[in-house]
Amino acid sequence: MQPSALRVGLRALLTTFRAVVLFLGLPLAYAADPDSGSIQVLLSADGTIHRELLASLRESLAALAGPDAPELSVTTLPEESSESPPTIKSNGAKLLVAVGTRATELALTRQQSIPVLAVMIPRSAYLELEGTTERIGGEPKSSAIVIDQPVLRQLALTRAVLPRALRLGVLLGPRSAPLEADLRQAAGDLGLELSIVPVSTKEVPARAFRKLTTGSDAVLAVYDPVILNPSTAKWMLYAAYQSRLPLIGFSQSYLDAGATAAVFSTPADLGRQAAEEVLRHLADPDSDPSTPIAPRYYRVGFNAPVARSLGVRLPDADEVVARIADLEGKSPR
Amino acid sequence: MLLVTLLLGYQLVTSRLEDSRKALEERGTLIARQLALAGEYALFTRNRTQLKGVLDAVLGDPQLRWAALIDDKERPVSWSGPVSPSELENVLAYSGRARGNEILYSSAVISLATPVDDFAAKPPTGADQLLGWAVVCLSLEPTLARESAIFLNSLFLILLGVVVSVPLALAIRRGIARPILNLTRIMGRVHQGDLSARADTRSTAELRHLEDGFNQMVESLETAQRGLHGEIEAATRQLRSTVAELEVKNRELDIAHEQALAAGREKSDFLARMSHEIRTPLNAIVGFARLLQERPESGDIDEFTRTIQRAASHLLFVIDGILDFTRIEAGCVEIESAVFNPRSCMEDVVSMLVPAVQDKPVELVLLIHNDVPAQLVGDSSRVTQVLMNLVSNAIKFTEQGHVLIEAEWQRPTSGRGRLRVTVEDTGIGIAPEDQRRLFQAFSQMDSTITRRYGGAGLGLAISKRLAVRMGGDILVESTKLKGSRFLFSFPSEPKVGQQPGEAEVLLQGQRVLLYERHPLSRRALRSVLTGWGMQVFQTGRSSQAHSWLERAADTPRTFDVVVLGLARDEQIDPSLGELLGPIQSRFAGPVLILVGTQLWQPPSLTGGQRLNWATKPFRRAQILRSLLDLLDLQEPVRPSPPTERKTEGPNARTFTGMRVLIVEDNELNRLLLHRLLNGLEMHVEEAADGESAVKAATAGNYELILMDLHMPGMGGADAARLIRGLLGNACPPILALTADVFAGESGDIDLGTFDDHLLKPVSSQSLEAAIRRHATSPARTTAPRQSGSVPILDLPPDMDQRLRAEFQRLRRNIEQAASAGDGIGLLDSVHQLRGLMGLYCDLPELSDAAAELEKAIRRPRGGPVHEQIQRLLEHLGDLPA
Repeated sequence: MQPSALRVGLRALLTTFRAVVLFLGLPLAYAADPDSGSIQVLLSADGTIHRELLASLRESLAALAGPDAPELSVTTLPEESSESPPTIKSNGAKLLVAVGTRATELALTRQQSIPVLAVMIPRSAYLELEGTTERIGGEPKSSAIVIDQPVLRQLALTRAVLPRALRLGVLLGPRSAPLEADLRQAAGDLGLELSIVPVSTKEVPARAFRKLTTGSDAVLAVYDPVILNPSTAKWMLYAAYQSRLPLIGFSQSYLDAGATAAVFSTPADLGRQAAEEVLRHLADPDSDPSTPIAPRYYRVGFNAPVARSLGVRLPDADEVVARIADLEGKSPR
Repeated sequence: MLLVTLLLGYQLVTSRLEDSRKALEERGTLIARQLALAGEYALFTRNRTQLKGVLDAVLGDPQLRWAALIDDKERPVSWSGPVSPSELENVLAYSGRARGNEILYSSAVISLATPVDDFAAKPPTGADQLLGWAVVCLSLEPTLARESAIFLNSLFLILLGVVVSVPLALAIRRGIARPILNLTRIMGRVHQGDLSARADTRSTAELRHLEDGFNQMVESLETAQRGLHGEIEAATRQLRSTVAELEVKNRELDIAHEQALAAGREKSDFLARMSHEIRTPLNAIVGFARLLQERPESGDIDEFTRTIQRAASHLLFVIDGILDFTRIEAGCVEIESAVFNPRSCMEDVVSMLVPAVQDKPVELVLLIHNDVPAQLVGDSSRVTQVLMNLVSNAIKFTEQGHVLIEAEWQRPTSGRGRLRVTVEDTGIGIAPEDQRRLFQAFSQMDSTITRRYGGAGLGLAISKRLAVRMGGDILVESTKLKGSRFLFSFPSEPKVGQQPGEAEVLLQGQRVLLYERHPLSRRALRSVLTGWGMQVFQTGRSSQAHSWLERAADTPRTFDVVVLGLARDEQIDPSLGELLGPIQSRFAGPVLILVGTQLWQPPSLTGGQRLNWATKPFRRAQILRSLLDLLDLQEPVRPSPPTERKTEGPNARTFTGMRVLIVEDNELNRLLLHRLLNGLEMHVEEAADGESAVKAATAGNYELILMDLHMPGMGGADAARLIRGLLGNACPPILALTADVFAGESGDIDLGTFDDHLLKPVSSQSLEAAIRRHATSPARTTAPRQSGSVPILDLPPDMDQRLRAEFQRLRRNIEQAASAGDGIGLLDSVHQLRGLMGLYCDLPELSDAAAELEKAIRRPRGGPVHEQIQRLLEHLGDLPA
């Protein structure tokens, strides 16, 4: 037998074995924990943010419920999902907390018996999954704590950073287009004029960036993976910087990449919020969760060097948060 | 060096060209990368204006021909410079490659991913986006120009290097390599031992120091080696010289050793002889003294005391001799200075020695020249001693011929005169090698010379030392077998004012006819006679003497006196008659006859002619007196006239009845001797060997014993000693008989044992003379008789027969002894034979053969004697049986 043929043969055998294990393993795994707790947690991956969120969830549950805190049955999805998606059994669980888009997709599409609380998922993704679920005809007993910050918070931050700004450039792609109304509402509340640049999927955003900066006092980056992704994000920053305009971001990563300021929630913030939602669901399982839930806990951040180079005086972060809370009509956290 | 230069040059050119290319490449890459970075945004945005601006900005580089940005599909987006879009198609394929005189470099325009979502499922890996390519085209011309410049520069440098390195290499070769090679070559030569090799010192600096140092080192080596060679040679020379010296010393030591041995031997012999010489008389003295003590009443007291006196005198004489020598050696001998008469001195010596030549045909001549002073100042006794020694030696060594004692006065022009006495003989002579040690003490060369001193070997040694002490010397000239001359001379001064005696004056002018056959004697006589002023007519021929007398008879002036010196044969008739007869008839004057023997009976002359006779050698005074007497001249009265012989001559003695013992082993010899002695009317008894001789001698009262030396059993010498020991003073004279001429030297015959010795053949005369000398019996006068009355060879027939039988017996004995290798028996037989030969001497060849054989046998390192035996046997065989 030739060595290459042997290798090919061995690899095929291994692949087959793994498929069999995955296919049989998941139901077995859930079945092996039939009444282990009331809450099932399904993690999309064993990443840092997932572990951070899980830890925050546990802590918050313990802090909030004390000895009555529900037990968490945590499952982490394999890194690469197999060709046949795993099935999820309820096993008496009262809630399935799906952490991440992948876990949410599995939780929503593979079972209908357990209510699902999706955590740490983009709004557009959840809505798309929800719509899919509805089209299947299942009972959507799910809610989600999305990662998208309310546009008010971003606009309030913009106002706080640039008190004299009048015109705000916003690029809206296919995913973010639904936000336009909210944006205009909030802008109006804050006395800002929006210069919205719509971008189609196929359009090269480079030119859109140039349009965005023209006549604006600042640029507002809205979460839309279609138009604002790792490949294009820096050109938006580059265009804003070329025009010496502050860019207000929506994540810690973008802040680090060069945005002047950003409002965002951390995994711990989301875990904490998830704990509260879990306890609320356990307390009142039949309550209809409002869809989707914006992050309750958030924070603002500044990129001081960028701000200095742009000549922007940065406000106090806590003040900003307080103002946002004020604007949202809520007490700050 | 040239190769190194070229290699370095090549390396330089290639590296610089490579550097240039690399620099170009780096530059192009850098520009492309810069363009990629600068054009990233413009390319992303497709902003042509911005793109153009970026490209133009890049084109500011003079070497950049053109620059372009192409998209990710390699389609030209924007370009600047002389390039067409068509040229830009597929342009990346040429990236990094030269195209004509230009080269293209490209760099990808990549947009890096920027993270934007905090909750993204995956990190934005692979999100980097290829936007396009930045391509620049650089002109190669500057590079090529720079490269050619580099090439030219390098070439120049290489050439410069070559130009510099070649002379440098040559200089190094000349200045370093060649001197080092030269030095190496020289080192090789030095290593092979050529130390003369020197390095050339034409180099400079350190090499010069090296060469100089090397040369100095080699020079030091050479000097050291030369010094070493010199030292070795010197040491070798010294060694050789030392070895030579050692050899010489060894030889000297050998010689000294031999001399010491010889001296030791001689001294031992000398001591033995001395012991014997001293003990013999001492023995007599002791013996007779004891006899005197034991028998004081004996009537022989006078005889005993005389014998003791004689022995004591003899002892004294011997001791005197030894003492003399010792004293001379010790320098204690005083040479007296007194006036003495040298003529008398010499005449005394000659007179004393006359008996020694009595039995030999030897003419003893004393020739004193007239210039010899009558009186000299000196030590006469020492002169006499010396002369005595010399003359006695001469006589003893001379069997025939003459012994001349010639004295002359040597008067130098200034200083003292010198008496020179020459003792010349015609004896056996002395070999040159013996002459050298002739005067050495204890020399055994010839003990007969020192017989006078009892064979002590001291005579000549003493004489020589005495002569030297007197300021003179003794020289010897000798030729073996021909004779010797001893020249004794010593300085002296004549007694001044001496005058010729009156008697001598009386003889002046007297005419004398001198007849003497012997020229030396004639010369001596003539000298004396002319010394007295006589007119001498001399001749050696009787006929001339007769003739002169005849002629003179006719003249008025005839001879006053005739002096006849007679030879032996002329002393007896008829020769005497034949000589004297014509003289008597022609001359009536006085005649003086000189004869050689005292036993001469002068003839009775007729006609009243006056005749006187004297013995030769003559004494001057005697001749003078005789002449004065004959010439009737008055002789002045002298207080002490010298001893003279009267005309009647010596008293004749008779031996009738004298008891003689003959000891002889050979019967024939005994017989012959018996007969000879019977002829002298002696009573003869015989003994055949030593023992019987002793018995007979002690039993019989003999007056004389004749003892053969060589006898079987007890030898003659032992027997004689025994007899002397037994008889002591009463011992009769013992005369030794031997055929050996040198027997006297061997010590067998010494005066202590034997009174004298007779050499065979024994003549009646010698026998009679010896007996006469030694006979102790009262003087017996005997009637004058003819000498040689017993003819030796005239044997009776029975005697002849026995003689021949004896010869044959001896011959057989000799043959047997020779075949048996019995040396002693052979010697004995030969000795007996020689004894017979001595008796019967008309067989000279046989006698010679026997003598030869005996000599050969006795030779110390004797070789084969067959020849001699054979010769002897042949001669014996020739004898008729």
